[in-house]
Amino acid sequence: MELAWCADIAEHGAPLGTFIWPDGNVPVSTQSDSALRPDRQTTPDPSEWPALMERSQAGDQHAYRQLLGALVPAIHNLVRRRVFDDALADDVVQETLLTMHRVRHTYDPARPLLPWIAAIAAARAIDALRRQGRIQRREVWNEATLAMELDPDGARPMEQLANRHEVERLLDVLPTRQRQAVEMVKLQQMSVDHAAQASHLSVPAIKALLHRALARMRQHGIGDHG
Amino acid sequence: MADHRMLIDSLSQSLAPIRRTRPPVMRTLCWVALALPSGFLATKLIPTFYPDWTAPGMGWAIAQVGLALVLGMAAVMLAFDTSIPGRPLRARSGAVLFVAGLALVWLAVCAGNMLASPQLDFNRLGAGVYCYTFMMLAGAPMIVMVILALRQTRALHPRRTLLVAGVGVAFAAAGLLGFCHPGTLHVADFCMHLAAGATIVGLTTLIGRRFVAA
Repeated sequence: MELAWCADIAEHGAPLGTFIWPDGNVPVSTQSDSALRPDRQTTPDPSEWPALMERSQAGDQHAYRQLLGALVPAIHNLVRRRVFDDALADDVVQETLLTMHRVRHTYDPARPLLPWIAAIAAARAIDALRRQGRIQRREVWNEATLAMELDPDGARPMEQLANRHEVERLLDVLPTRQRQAVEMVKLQQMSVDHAAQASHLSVPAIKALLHRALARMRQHGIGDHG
Repeated sequence: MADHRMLIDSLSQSLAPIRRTRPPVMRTLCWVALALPSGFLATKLIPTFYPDWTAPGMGWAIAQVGLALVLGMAAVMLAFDTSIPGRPLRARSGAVLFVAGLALVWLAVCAGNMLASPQLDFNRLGAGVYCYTFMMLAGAPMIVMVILALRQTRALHPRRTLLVAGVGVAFAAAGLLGFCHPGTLHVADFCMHLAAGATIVGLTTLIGRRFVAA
């Protein structure tokens, strides 16, 4: 990530001294710095970081933006030593920047900056990994359960489809007359008398067919649920 | 790598000048100047015993008081120092060894005092309760002040930092107790001193964790 000094209004369309990001976007608010350099300023050298931090502690927003922009890759590298998940690593980088902002008054410019940053990054990385571990231990990720919880009605068509397939499988194991008897009495909810009339059989015959059909289905591992 | 520009812009916008944290030595001296008198004043809630410093055996008491106060200050300073990022406890092994060594000397002095003192019946009801109460009263304002002091810097490892700070407060309270304690030391009494110290360390860690975490 680079911050570019805007040295040419015609080229960038922004006032002299304005910071722009490489894609041409201007930060929300910028502060002109009286010590403008005529040449284009890229990412500050690590040896300049303590001085930039000292200026940031004094309230120099320009120096602070420059410093944070330069620190992000370094923080990212520090975090990736412990955190291997990309999304989690990005979260930890943001947490580190926020923590740095909160405790920036504790930094002593006479000391190197990197140990200070490394300590913050390591602590945030460890916190994030602990949090992730707690979530994994206490939460169960089950997509079917989650779908049911989010939309209980949405699962019913799937259930109905699954049941229909199951019923068809059950009926496929039966001979034709037994299957017809089961379809009339169990699926079409006809009475035994009515089913006997429709199939031109006697009531005892229908009952016998039903009995044999259920026994056959039990043999194939299916119970009778009425 | 995600784009953090928005966050950086937001943080830069909200940047204001800050006053840098003072060195741990200065912070410790300020804490001692405020906390010790506050702790002593808090003990006025109960009747105070003033020992006869010229009585025989008071040498042990004087040594205990001196060691306890030095230990208290050293531990609190260590807590202030290690609360700053980049200054871990393991990098302060010299200071840790100093505090640990001094604590052992303090224990040895207490043991010597106990051996030299006529021992009461251990089962005497209420043995050491006054001392426990005294230390808790003395420690209460000191706990609050050490937590407030640590809140200024926050701590990346709050439990560890508060543990060390709590040890400092406990020894400071023990030092104050020495000004209102007879020269003799009994086993039951000493056990209650240790119990009060442990309570102070526990309370400092439990109460301060939320306020001190970075």
